[in-house]
Amino acid sequence: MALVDLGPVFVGVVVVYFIVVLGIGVYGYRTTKTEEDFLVAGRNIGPLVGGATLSASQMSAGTLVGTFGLHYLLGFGFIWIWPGLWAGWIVSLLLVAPQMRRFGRVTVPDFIATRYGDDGRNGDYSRAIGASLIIIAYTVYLSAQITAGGLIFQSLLGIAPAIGMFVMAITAVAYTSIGGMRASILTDFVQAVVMAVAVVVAIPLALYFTGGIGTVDALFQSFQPSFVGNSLTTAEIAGFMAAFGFSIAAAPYEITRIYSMRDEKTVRQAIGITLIFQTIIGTSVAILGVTMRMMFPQLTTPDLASVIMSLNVLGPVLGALLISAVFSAILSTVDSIMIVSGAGLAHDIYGKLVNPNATETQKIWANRIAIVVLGLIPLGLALNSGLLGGLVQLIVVLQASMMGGMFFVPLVLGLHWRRANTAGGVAAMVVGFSTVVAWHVATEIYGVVPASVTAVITDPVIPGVVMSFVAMVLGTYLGGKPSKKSLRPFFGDSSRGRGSQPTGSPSADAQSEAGTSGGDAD
Amino acid sequence: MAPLDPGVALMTVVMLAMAVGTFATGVYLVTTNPPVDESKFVGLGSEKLTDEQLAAQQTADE
Repeated sequence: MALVDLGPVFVGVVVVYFIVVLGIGVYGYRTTKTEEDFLVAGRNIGPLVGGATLSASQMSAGTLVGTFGLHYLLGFGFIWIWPGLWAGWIVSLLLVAPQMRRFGRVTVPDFIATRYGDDGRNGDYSRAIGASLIIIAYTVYLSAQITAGGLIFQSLLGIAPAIGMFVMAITAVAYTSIGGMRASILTDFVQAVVMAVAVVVAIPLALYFTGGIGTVDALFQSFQPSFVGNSLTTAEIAGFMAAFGFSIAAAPYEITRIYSMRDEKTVRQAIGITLIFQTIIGTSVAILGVTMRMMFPQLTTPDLASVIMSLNVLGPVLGALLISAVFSAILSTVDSIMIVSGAGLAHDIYGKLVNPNATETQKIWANRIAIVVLGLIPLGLALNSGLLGGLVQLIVVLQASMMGGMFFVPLVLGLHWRRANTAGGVAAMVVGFSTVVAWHVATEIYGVVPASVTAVITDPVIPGVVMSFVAMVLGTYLGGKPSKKSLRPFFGDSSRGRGSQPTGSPSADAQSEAGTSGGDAD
Repeated sequence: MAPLDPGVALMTVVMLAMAVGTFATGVYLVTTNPPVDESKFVGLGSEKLTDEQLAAQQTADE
């Protein structure tokens, strides 16, 4: 049975919304002339749109559906997830984002191949390892996003999940392969604004209907005090913060957006904007989830809480807009991941390893074809969920932790430690990735790790990062010093302070070639 | 309006303080310029060199 009454107002709002999104896609197509336009939007994204896209790609449908539902189910205690997210952005601001923008390439494997390029093949092996892990993890992760989208279609519109999956995957593939990163980012901007407006408008309405926070508190104090109190332990809160701190700073789809911004100052301002967006949306979602529990205590599944709110609290226009934003959020997440995994195949594997002399037109079309291929494979996995079975579930659950365990240490130490070398960087990637998987298997599948340990180490990214750090230090000191070539793009300019030309710009490259860069590692 | 339980009130104050602090941090980042990098070290003990030192080292390398 469909939840949504497909009245003329709802249909009208949804149609207008998707016409706007489609128009953005066409605009993205018309303004895409080079691979750099396609993958990093020509590097001219400003702070407001940049901040909105960081927010939208981070929060997405998981916030409006999943996190909203968790607040509905668990109460205020889950609000500690938000300081964890905010801490993640601060880590990114201090250690990764401005430095990566200064580096100014296109993908995370570009960084890996440059900084850890002493592999005898100018970084080809390092690049291939990084790109392959991204492609595998994100392709499987996409299948879960498509599956979730199909289920939401089913809940809202009452149609078979397979139809919803098919519509969502085809829409995202068509739209992303046409519009590229510029279309993805501008869509994110619309989505973030709609999300923020909808939840802020909903708060006074929800409090009006429930009688205020004091009434909500008094009600739950009488039969479930933990719902309105702090139900998490200090270790769990620290675990949240560590997990998000490591994962956000190293997430390839966020770093690609960092590459898309104008300069380092824009990156700093965009992170400021995303903190503002996420403060507003995070606290609002927590309050709304709790008040929805009071208004509608008997929902069959918590994930429906935001939809019920849209239909019963926000009114027809804003409610329809928020539901449109839920669909758009799923599409936005899907297209963000498609661009990154497609770039792994087209930019890193085809453009760098297979056909380094490809023309710009060939590169753009390679990206479009890669997006089609890497978009249809997850659709096949989603429609045949038993195809990879437990492996799919493993990657879906661990995707963010895998990226954090695999890339956090190589990125941070590669950017800040001159002595870090290729052996250390590659070892850190492989060991970090493997530790996250091994920790999950040991704790969740075989249960061989004592409960006293898992109570403190609440996310596999924590041991992943620790072991990755150990591997980095051991690999670095057992290997030789890094070459000047691998250090030049990162430390050559640093002696002249942040006001210098971003590396990657023609003038910076010219200065590097002229020999004004730093010397060997210490 | 019903009064808040003291424990809930404390947690509400803590969370509000964190939210306000994060919001203020966002506003600060949006409205100010990045600080000039005057630190001495590149990271983990690797000392930065002046342009003159870099040039001298480059010459020595060659």
